[in-house]
Amino acid sequence: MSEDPSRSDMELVAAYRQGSESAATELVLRHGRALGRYLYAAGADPGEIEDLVQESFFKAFRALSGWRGEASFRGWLFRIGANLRKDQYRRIGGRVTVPIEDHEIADVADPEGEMGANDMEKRLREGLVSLPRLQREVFLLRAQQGMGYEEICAALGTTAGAARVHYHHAVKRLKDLMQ
Amino acid sequence: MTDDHIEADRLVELAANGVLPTAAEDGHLAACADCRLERQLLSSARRLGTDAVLALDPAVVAARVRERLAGAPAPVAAWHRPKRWLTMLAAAAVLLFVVRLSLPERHAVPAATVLNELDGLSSEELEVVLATIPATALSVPRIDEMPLSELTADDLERVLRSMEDL
Repeated sequence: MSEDPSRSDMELVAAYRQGSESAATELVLRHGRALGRYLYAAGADPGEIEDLVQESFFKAFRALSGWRGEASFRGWLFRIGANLRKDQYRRIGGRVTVPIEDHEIADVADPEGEMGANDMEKRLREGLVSLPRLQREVFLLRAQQGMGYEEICAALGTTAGAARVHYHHAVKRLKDLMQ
Repeated sequence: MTDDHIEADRLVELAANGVLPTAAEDGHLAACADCRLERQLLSSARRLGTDAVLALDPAVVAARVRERLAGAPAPVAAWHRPKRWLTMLAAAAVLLFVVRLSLPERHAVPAATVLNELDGLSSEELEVVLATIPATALSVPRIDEMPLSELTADDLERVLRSMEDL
């Protein structure tokens, strides 16, 4: 049985707490890919993203009694994922795998634009890994996920003002790295 | 827009799909390499990871998560966990030890003082000694007097927190 996609995350969590497995499924469908992209951007190995996403949701559902809605479910879930990513990063001795991809020149009107965009994404990911953790997380939640500062500070346990400063620093460092 | 650049929040909006710049913003982006770079950076961030999760099937992930949840023992409330109790007991023991140390001993042997020479000085004499401490020892710049660009992220956060408490 599928869940009504118009139900809010809070309603789905409440339904899950009442025993609804389909509510849990809906939450994974709703947030799984976004979480995967977030973890990838934070430096997770592409081959381990599915495991990290699965583990993040498993831990989130096990710890739902600790979520009272102060942060959005997505923000809270991403925090769990980031902590798992941090643990993984420590286990591998701080090494990050940046895949070397073969870029075929596509038969499109702007082949230079295609190469430029892919190159920028690769350099952006390398730059993100070099940022302090809080700067990286604030930047990704803002720029990649489109979250507002109130949602970001609730998810990360900081203030909106401090989050803005972290974002400002992250952008400045990344721009310096891109040039 | 500020006088020199498009505001950071607006650049985030412009990086989102379907949001078009105004004519003025378009003109500025054509002329300002810094804003152009930031918009390009944010557009890249929006796309980042899209290819990496193509193979990720949330339905498969959901099924595996449900399977693990069904097989896992019920989560133990935090205050039930034995490790947590041990940690609390250890913390209480340390606290008791510290409090015990701070209580004045009735029959304790006096601890050796580091500067015996100060023991015999009066209050006025001690003040004279303090006045001779070099001013450079007190010249550590205060965080809130330093230019913002020289502050680390941690310092900035402390400044911001102190301002937000006013």
